[in-house]
Order: sequence, then C-alpha cells, then structure tokens
Amino acid sequence: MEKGKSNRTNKDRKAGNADALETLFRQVSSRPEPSRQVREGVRSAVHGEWRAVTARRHWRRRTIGLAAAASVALVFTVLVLNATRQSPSTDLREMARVERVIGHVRVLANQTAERGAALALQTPVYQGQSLRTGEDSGIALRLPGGTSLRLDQNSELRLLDVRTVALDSGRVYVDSQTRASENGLAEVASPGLAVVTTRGVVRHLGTQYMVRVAESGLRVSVREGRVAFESGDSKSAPLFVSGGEELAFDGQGGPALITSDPDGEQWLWAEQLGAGFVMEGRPMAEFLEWVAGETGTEVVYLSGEAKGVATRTKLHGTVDLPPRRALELVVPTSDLSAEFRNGTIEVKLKR
Amino acid sequence: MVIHLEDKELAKRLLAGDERAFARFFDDYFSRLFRFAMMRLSGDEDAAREVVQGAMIKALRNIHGYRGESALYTWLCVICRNELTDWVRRNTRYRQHLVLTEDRPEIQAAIDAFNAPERDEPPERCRRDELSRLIHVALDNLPARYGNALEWKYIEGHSVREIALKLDISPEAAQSLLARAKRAFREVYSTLLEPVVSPVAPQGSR
Repeated sequence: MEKGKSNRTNKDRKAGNADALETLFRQVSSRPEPSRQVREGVRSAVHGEWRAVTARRHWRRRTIGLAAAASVALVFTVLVLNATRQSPSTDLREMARVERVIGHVRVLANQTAERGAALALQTPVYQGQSLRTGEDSGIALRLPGGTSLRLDQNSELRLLDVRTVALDSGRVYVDSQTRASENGLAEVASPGLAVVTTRGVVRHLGTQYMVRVAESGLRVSVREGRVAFESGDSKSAPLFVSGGEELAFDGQGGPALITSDPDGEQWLWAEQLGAGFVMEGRPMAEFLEWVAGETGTEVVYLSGEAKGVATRTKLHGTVDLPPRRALELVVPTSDLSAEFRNGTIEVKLKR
Repeated sequence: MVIHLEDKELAKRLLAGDERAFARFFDDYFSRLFRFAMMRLSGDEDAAREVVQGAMIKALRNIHGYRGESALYTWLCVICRNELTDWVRRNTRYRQHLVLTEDRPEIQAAIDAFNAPERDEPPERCRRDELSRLIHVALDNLPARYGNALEWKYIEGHSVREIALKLDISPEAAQSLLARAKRAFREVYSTLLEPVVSPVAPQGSR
C-alpha cells in the first residue's frame, strides 16, 4: 500500500472513530446524580470527620518564653517517676464507675497476666486496674466528687489510687466539674486528680483538660481553668497552663507553650463520651449549662426575657446524645434559639 | 509503575487540611462513588448513601496511606467495595452480592493503566440499557474533568465555549481536553466491552 493512501486511511479511520464515539454518546442520557439533600448530608458528615482527622494531625507551634513561677499559690505532691512500671496495688478500693462505653474496652487486673474483661455501664473499676481501649473505642468514668475522666481510642490508663492515674499511651480528658477562680484556686476544694506520665505529673486547679502521650512526646491541653505541670526534676519550677493553651513536649527538647482552640475539633472525641443529660423536670437553663460545660463554652443570654424563658421552661425525658447534637434537637422545641458563636452559646427568643 | 502525581498531590493537601482540596475531593468523587454503589445495590439510594459515606470517611482516615500507585478513584472504589461487602453481610436481603463486569480484577487493572487495545466498531450487539450503563461506568472511570467534558459536549449538547467557561479554561484548551478525553474514553470503554463482544471459543478449539 502506498504511504499516501495509508495516511488517508489512518485519517479516515480516526475520523470514523470520532463519529462512532459521538454516535455512541447520543444514545445515552446524562449520568444520574444524587439528590441535593443526599449530597449535602453526606458532605456534612464526611467534612466533619475530615476536620477531626486533620485536627488530630495538625499542630501549630509558637514557643514563648516561660517565666519562673515565683509565686506558687498551691502546693503539689510530686510523684517521682521511674522507668519501670509501678506494680498495681492489690487493694480492691473502688475508684470510679463506668458512665459510658463505646466499642470494646478491656480492664486488666495487672500488666503481666492480661485477664481482660469487658466493661458494662455502672461497672465499678478499682485501684490497681488498667483500662485499655482499641480502635474506635472509648470509655468515660465518674469519680467520687463528680470528676469525669474520659479515655480516647488506642489508649491505656492505670488506676494507681483514688486520686492518681497513669497515662501510658493515648489521650485522657479530665473534667473536674469545678471552675477555677481568678487567682487560680478552685472554687470548690475538691481533691485534685493527678495524671502521671513519663514526663511529669499534671494536676488540675478546677478545669477541663486533656493529656496526650504519644511516641513523639507529651501534650497537655487546657480547655478551661488551669493546670500545673511538675516534672520529675525537683529543681524545675512548676509550669502553669491556662485555658486555651497547650504545653508540648516533643523529643528531647524543652517544653513549648502554644495556643490551643478550646472549641476545636480535638475535643470532639471527649464530647462523644460524655454522659447524656436527664432532662425530666429540669429547666432549659440547666440543660444549656450542661451543653456549655461539655463543650467548653459559656452560655450568653441576649436578653433578660430569654434568660427568664430558659429558667421557666421545664424539659421532659432524657437526651442521650453528644451535647452539640442535643442542643440542635432540644432548644427548637421551646421559644428559644441557641447558636454556638466565638466560644459561647448565644441564646435568644425566637421571633 | 505509573504514579498518579495529581492524585497524590490532592491527598497531600487533604492531609494538610486544605479546604479547597476537600471541596475538590468531594465534588470529583462523591457522585461517581454514589453511582458505583447504586449499581451494586439495585438502586437503593439510602443504602448507597450509607455505604458511600462510610467509604469516604474511611478513605480520609487512611489517606496518609495512599501512595499514588493507582488512581485515587480506583483506590476509593476498593474501599467502597469493602464497605459494600460489609453492608451486604449486615443486610441479608442483599445476600446475593451483585458482581458486575467492571469488578473483575483484570478489568480494573486495565482501566487503571489505560492500556486496552482500540476497537474500531461500535458495540452493536449490546443491549441499550447495558450500553448506557457501560458508558456511564467508563465516564466515571476517567478523570473527573474528562468525564464531565464529554458528557457536557456529546450528551448534553454544550458548545466548546460553554465547556471552557465551566472549566475556567480557554476554548482552545477545552478543545484539546476534549480530544484527550475522547482518546481516554475509547481505551477505557473498549476494555469494558471486551467481555461482552468477544465471541465464546467453541469447545475443543485451541
């Protein structure tokens, strides 16, 4: 075949293919699309999860100079840490009760003989036991005095005594249910819980905070209130961390104090583990305070009338949902509307 | 081995928390995955939503593991297939799992590598509904811009100029994109068509 004829044949073939393709497309309709409602619903759910994933990975660094804490208002007991694990006590003193369980959580009698047992609601946990969570699991405990202790997935916590726990890995959230006054002293003198790590001890001063132990180091994030951190070095002054701050230890370097969003997605896992709110007969105002406490925010009434309605409106039933979802469902049933804004819950009368 | 650099870059930006990357990820892949699931769930929209939501969440949790060795869409489809399997196990009325032509591993590999031989003749022996489905599947297996451009031009009848505006590119670039899209479509579609039009070898033949 001559080259020229071959070229025309190839060109004709390509043109023929293009025509065939266009003919093919004309025989079908557009691809079906999901409805807008489905799209928006899935988008919202997926976006929320993506934000939580990236927030756990993303850290902003800002190192500030730490001044020596010249005036220490409180005295702490320093627990000396050693490389070997402390043997758990055989004392069966009850330390807390299980308030919520997600997934499968194991309680271990001691570290060497792993006789794990599954946990159920209201199960007591005892001094000397360890709690271990896996993927997609978590647990919330209620201590005497009202402190809420919540353990995230892939974490391990040892219960050393009624006021001391040791975080070996993962994340623990502590809500002491008391609020620090301006001078840093707790308004209610409840016994403080100490969280022991290989880097040091964290003790609260009336607050909500989170301790995270990872291979890369230690993080102490404070949502509200104040904590004091003491390392094992008796020469080092305690470090104070306030609401909206995070103390970060990475590698072998010194600590860095960085900002932490009290309303960020890093706290969501703890909100999921919170106990529900028993509404029956209780005023809307108490429900709103519960939501604020769980979400590290503050209730702000935009008018006196709104506050009056919140105080007078009685609720019925129980809501066993995370606080933000509960707010979305409960408040619209009243004459009020509520919205999260800039770290507060703004409450006003519906028009 | 082909590395899908653009997809890998998108994954990197997703990990970094880039909102525009998320918007692109969702807009490019949600509809395609939804159609993927719908076909395998007999058109059950609620089930498809549950499966695709689960698959996309799982994908984002594991996006750090995506290495670009396959197209991101292929990677997502693997996750979606696993979610479908789990969903089917939980829901006994779908006990007979639907297996479609394009689920065969060798077809998946071919689609991903765009290495299928060209076919010269249109598939005249295909039934109309299967034809429509295969065309939609082929479009979904192209990069989103390719599939969308072909659909806008040849199914919905938009002009090159209108397509250029939709994609925020010049008309010349849109023309060039359409040409590339047609070539890519032909390769993918031919691969899907092969099990349908290839004659069955008579028994005893070599």
